[in-house]
Amino acid sequence: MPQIKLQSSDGEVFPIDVEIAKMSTTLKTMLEDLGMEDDDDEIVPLPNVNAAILRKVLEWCTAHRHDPPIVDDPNILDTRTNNITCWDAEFLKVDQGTLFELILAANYLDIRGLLDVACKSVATLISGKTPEDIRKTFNIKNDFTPEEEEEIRKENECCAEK
Amino acid sequence: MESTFNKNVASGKIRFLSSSFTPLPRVSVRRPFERNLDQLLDDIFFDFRKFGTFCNYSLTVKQPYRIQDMDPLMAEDFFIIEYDKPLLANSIVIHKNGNCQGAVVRVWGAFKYELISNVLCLLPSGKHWTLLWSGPALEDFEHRARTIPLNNPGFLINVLKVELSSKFISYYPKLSPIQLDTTILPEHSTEFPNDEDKKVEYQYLDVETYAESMPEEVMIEIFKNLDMASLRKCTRVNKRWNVIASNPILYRNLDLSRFWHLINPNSLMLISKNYHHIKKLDLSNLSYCNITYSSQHNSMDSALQRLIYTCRNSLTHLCLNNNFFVTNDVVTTIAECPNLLELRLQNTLNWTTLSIDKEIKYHSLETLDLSTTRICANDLVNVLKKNSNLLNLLIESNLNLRGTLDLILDTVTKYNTQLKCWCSWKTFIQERTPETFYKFGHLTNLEELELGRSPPCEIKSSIFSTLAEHCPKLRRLVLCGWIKLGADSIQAMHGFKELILLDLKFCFILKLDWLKKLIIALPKLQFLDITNCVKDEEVQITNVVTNRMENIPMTQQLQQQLSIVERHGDREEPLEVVKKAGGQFA
Repeated sequence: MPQIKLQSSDGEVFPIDVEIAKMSTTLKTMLEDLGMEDDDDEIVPLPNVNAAILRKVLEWCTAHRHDPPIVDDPNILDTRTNNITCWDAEFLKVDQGTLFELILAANYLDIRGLLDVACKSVATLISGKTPEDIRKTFNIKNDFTPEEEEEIRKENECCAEK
Repeated sequence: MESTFNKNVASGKIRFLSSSFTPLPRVSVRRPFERNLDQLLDDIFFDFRKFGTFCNYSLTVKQPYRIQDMDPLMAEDFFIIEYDKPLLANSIVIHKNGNCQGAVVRVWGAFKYELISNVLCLLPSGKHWTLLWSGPALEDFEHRARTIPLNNPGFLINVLKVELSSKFISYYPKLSPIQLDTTILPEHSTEFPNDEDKKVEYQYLDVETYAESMPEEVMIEIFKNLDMASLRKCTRVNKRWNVIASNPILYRNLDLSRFWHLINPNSLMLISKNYHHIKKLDLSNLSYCNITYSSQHNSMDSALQRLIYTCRNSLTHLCLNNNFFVTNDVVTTIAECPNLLELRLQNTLNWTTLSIDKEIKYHSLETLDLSTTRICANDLVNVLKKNSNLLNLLIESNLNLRGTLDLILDTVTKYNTQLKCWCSWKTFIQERTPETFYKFGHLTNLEELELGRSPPCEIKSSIFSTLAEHCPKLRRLVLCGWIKLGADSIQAMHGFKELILLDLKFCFILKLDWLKKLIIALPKLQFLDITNCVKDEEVQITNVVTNRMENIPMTQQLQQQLSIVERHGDREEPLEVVKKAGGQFA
């Protein structure tokens, strides 16, 4: 099995199977464009991903390497399900910082499946909460004036589920 | 305490129903059935047509427009009960209706709705719809009565809305509105609940936050997973979230049917102001909605009109089932949408023509649902001619189409030859020429044929032999209420080799022997409904499972015989046979 080496932002090198690396569309394109597939000594630097997150990303990719590819169809995206598998749920039991960094890494490396499931996981933190609870969960500052807030609240009465 | 409750029982009257309910054909129901609000419907039993997997097995079942907004309790149908006097309701009791009671998933209450120019409006001193109870549907609920406690006993009501999920009903249910009781609380015991949100101020910690630093595209990916209520709450978090959570990309498909109690003209105006590219739009169930006074009625349908007009070029799917505000003007606006693939207007009775003086622009419809509407044949023919790609045609319980089967079939067989599903349940009753039914044979792609409660005046076996010969793809056949199907007809059905579902409810007096042979002849059959179908003596009652609720006592012998047939049938899938009717039979 051919391998390549990935280097995290903090300098750690991860040798991995090319098959797994190609689950990242970013890496796949890079490997194919640069013809790097046969060159075992080349190190690919990933300046946006630290070692802890990269380890986590690779763990996910290894577990999901046999998944069918995700079709990037806007219609399917609009109607996808909210299901998270048990394995993924366990995998995503991490602190909020790690969860968001995983999303950023999945977005940067373009790993559709991981991005989807991590976004779903964040969505479950938002779902059903009041705006105030959402602010609290994510430590977000309310920058609306009371007048603006009232106006937006009124606009949203149509979907203000109790 | 108990004695107080027992004496305080109120019976309401059914005011409005979703269209899965249809009145049972009793002798007194000869007159055309109209679902006007001013007509009291309390003297009839209702069929509740849909139940379990049986009825959901169809290509015509509506797919959700936005999965995130699917109802977790899967409520699909509802009825609304109105009381003469305001009451403080403690619980609602539903009696003797088969297992319809088990299907109840939500009860809503409101106070002081009044009928003003045929629209129910909230009076100024009224109280808007409030959820009084919700819970999952109960599978196989067999008790004679179910008492549902109402959570909010201080709430004064004069209308109740009961939502049902038919997914868990295992056999044919009925509903009798006479048997809905509401126990009343003594009036002094309560005050109105205070439903104002309790405000808790939260102190912002001035540290770096991940959610704040996420790129917009990632936030959109997160927001795509949210249901509409949560998404709208995100717009209230802060200015950045407000912009991102308002991105039109998140509102391409809208399913607002669950927010029927909250929608008003202003909310529709707001949507049409901000979102011009909606592709799929579901505004079902707007019947008694958030409207104060009749003066807003006009603005409700003009708001609906405006919204549809704004999105006319992007709309591909539009569902307005059970929507009270679909008027001729609204339907005429729908005619302006050239790209519609699916149009569902089931149970909308406030319009008569699909377009006033304007050309209908949609020409690629695949699904058209005009069940329980007042459309007339010429109008329908006009649409059928324009939409040659039509796959699913639903024209159930349509009074104005009665007697026009010939005309419509001539059109369909000429212009809509790709048709896969035809559903005219209870529309073409007693058609005088059985030969008309041969014309279905021209629809060679037909997969589903639903002709329940609409048999011709004379049933000829050649109808079935024609179908078997020319419609080889037929998978679903509903002949509910085709009384006096003969041995030759059942014999002719042996030709339906692809048949998966066969509904023979109320085809009185079929011989068990015919059915056994039929089951063996149809290798793919998975669902068979023979409720009220086999004659008593035929079964040679030995061990009668007596249940007065059922019209036909099922014997163990019959069950055994059927199970033997199942084993002999050499089939891959197990056969599901529905043999009993719920509820009291009149």
